Amino acid sequence: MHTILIDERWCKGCKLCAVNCPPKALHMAERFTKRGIHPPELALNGRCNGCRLCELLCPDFAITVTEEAGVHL
Amino acid sequence: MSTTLTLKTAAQLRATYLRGEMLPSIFCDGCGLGNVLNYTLWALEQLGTDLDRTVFVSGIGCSSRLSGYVNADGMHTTHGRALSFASGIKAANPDLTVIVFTGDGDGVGIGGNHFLHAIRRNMDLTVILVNNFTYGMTGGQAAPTTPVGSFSTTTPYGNIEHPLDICELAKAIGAPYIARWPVSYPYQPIKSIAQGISKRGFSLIEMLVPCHTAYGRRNGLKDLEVIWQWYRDHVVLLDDYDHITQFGSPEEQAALREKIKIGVFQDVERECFDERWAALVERVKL
Repeated sequence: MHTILIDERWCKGCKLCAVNCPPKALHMAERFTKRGIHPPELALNGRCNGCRLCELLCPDFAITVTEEAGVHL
Repeated sequence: MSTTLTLKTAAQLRATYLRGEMLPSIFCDGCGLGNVLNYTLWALEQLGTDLDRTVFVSGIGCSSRLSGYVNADGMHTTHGRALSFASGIKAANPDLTVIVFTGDGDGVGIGGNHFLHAIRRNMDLTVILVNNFTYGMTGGQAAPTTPVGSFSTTTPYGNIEHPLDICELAKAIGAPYIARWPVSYPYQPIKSIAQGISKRGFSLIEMLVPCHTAYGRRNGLKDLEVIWQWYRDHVVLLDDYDHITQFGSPEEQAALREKIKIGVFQDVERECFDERWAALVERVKL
């Protein structure tokens, strides 16, 4: 199980992570951050395969993929 | 000692290499310049380079802001003169690792002459040249690399000048390491930058970065997804290029003319300035 941490101070909401996510596990959230943009969030927790492409393709160093167990609801 | 790569998380990498107080970056949302820095940091991490012995030099332009975000010594120099300053640093202290961030307008437009002569001298520099086809920071004027027919603020009826192929130019003068990658491919540039830093001599890594604000807006590539896809559709690997020119159908060969070659153009050994200088000092000393 992978979790994706977004640094909301740095994220500009460019959607590159969501567009380039191979299993389409990321989507843009409805809520706003303090900067006034929609941050990405993990829509389908089980679908993230931990390829870390979002981490590499994020131009603003805002994403970290960790392999810790996510919160189960 | 095990040879496996110790994989840091991105958060650890940022904490080690970036100046947190400088971020978020000044770049437009979705600009690939941040990626170039990201790939450089991963390459430095792979090599285990000591940041205290590394100098980042840059000129003027969007790409030249990158050196300010790294938690290492750096120089933000005058327009086009990044390579001259870097050559000076390297000549004065050959033990330092010198990395130059420059753009197409800064590196081969304004500072084109310095580019030629830094390669001719074969200074031991790693030059990461960010090519976005335009002068982005000053508002989208035509650069030496702007493709024929492109619109910009200085070419409102389409560009009539032929663009400069930076990698072929460097190859003609004899740079030991030359590579070109689009920013949408993450792993190849990381490897190329790592190889470039380890190389003794001038290594040039040209990165194709989409500029949707200054270039894309005037050329029908305003949308972020569209311009990133354009780069995927308009590049061809060197091996594929050779294969298609030799065996491809006329249609495939016609399609090649629109495409930009990517890959490692040159990887040879050539005696660099420091070695020749050390030999000279040894020969003439009393």
